[in-house]
Amino acid sequence: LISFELSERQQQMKELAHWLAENEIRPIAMEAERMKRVPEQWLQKINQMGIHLNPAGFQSGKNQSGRLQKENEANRLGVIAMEELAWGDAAVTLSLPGPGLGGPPLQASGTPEQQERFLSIFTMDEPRWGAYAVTEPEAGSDVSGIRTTAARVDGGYLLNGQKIFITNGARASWVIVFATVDPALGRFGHRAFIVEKGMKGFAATKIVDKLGLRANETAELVFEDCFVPDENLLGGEELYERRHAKSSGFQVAMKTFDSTRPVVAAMAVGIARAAYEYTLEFVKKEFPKHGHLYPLAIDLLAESETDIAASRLLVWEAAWKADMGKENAKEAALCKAMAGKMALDVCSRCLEILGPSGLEGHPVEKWYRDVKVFDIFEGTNEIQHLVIARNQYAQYRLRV
Amino acid sequence: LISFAATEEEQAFVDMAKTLAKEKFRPAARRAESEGVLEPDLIRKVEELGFLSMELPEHWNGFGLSLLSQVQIVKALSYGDPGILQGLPGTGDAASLIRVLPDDKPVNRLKKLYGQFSEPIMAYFDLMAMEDGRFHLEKVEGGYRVTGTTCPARLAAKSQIAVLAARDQEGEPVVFFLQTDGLRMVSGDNLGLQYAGIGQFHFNGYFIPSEQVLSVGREAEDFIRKARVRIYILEGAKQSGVAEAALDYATAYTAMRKAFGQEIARFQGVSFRVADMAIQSRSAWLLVLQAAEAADRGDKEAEGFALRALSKAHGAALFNTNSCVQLLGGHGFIREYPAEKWMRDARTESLLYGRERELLHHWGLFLLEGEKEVKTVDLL
Repeated sequence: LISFELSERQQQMKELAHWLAENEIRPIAMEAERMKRVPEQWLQKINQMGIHLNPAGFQSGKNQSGRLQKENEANRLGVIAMEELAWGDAAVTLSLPGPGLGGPPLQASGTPEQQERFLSIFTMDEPRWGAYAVTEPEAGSDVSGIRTTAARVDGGYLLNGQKIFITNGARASWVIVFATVDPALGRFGHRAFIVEKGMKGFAATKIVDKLGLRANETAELVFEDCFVPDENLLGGEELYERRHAKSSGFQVAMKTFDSTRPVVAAMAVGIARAAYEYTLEFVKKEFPKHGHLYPLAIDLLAESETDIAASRLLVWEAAWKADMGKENAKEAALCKAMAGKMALDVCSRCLEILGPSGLEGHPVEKWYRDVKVFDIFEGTNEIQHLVIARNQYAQYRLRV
Repeated sequence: LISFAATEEEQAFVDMAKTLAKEKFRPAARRAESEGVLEPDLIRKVEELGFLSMELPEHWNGFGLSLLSQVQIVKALSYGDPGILQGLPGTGDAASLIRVLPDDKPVNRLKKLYGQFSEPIMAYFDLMAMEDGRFHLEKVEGGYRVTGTTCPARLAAKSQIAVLAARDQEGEPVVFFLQTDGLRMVSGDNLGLQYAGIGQFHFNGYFIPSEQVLSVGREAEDFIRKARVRIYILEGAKQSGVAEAALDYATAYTAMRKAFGQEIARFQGVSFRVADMAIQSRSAWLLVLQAAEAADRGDKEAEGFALRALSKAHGAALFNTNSCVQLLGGHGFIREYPAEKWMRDARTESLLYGRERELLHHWGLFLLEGEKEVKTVDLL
């Protein structure tokens, strides 16, 4: 039955996440932005509350074999929560302790031992992070073009290369790193490794300054003859043998996108909603109804609200399909393409309504800067268009 | 629980509707448009399947289907041809008013009149927002007197009965019906939806006896608003149908058409536009579904949801049909292909039902001022 009403659990998740966003995240957002980091004390406090960011881990459970699994509502719960948290502040949300974007590939492709070993570190004693590293200086959207190498050696692999734009990359206890066993093989040579902090030859060399999301750490990582043991090959050798498709490392990356794109899109919806709600209240209080700007605000706000609602439904549909175990690459791309662009448009419209007074002192200018990257990371808008188009033409066996 | 799965029964009806739309509506669309003719067998088939009486309540021998079920079927039918769908006989948009009216004496008079015709067609004119002063309703002894011209409405030119919603000289909302026989009707060569019998009536002191008044005052306003919500949601489904038709047609064409030695779909200027069409139609459709579900639940937000859904659906239909013409190039411009017709139909639909920016403006007033204040200034 088609329904847009939240279940009791979904409603509870929404309320809990919103409480956190409103009472813990939003109050420190502007200061964290100014400091370009989230205060350590705050991270300690949040961690002690047992709050961890794991977009793949909402409502996790174990099946009979003891393997962690996502239950029916996991993806929907994830996107509902992430919209609320990003409404509080996206930079602080992305800095929350937990496996972060490293969670989905670990839970989708990791062995039971790897999941136990790397997910069990997120305890309340001290904050820890996971990270996910695909992008390289010469390979962003073209994931198949990664050049970080993984040379087979006795007992494991030697990694060499560089990763850029890695969220929480320097502070992470482990990073899922994509590398190739042979660049000539393209995507067929891809493997994913769990590289642990402190491994010899692994270093975070730079924290970059950014247009937005300044409170969130974005790192460059370098691998110089970094030895990674066999047990840290994501999914183990058998993952690659079992699938008979030698491209499974690439497939891990692509499948990860199918679950993380709706999450990222949900965050974009949350930021857009924050800007819209802030501006709506501002107009209600500050704009005279007979003023010349009032009609302009009516139309811009209505357009924004409509686009936010439409994007949210696309996000929900992609998450619902994932929960149902259905192929959702197209829906994931649809929601990411729309939400990423929409959110910037909404923030821009809100600034237009606020006018010169929006240049400083209003969080909208920060959200405008923050949200731009949501149209870039986890696949640019252009890549989403490519994915949508490929799905659209698949029925004609035409690869575009 | 958030879910996007249609019920098995809904899916079965949608499949039937889609098959009918593709196999019967689409091939018949050009003749219906140019000659105003549709095979009686096809109309009978549509009637047999119950697609003419989905919105009517059971006491009108209708199916009283939920909006959520209806929008899925309506979208599938519009996918075949929006012009044919809008021109099918029956109660048209008046069905939504009948759906919300009580089964009382005045309504039974309308039902009795409707039953007197072998192939009855009813037109509905929502004149509440007419601001140009061309239509006047005056309360007089024993009824109302009508002077002036209505706005254009679909099925008007084919109708034997018209139901009108308007304000009298005191600003009081009134809903009444009349027989169209003998009335002056203007119906020209419209931009689109030509089979839909779009037309407007001219009145010159026409008397409406009080027996033909269905509702008056605050109660009437409430019925009109509720009917409008349903009509907007159903129109959103129709626009979603044509938006999806344009998307699929453009996809098929560009996958086959070659230029510069390859299928034009391989050029990202083409395939990205197709992707944009997919984003437009899907996002609009989900808003329509959400509005339908909210209306079925009696959610007070349904009225606002209907406004934004129809606005978005208009936008999607306009973008997709224009894009379809564009991607077909010269072929899109000529009448051998359906693209140019859909482009005209979609634009016509958006003008008959709210205009996309006007709908958004009303939604914005809802958001800023709340339903109550908007209602008092009668912006709907």
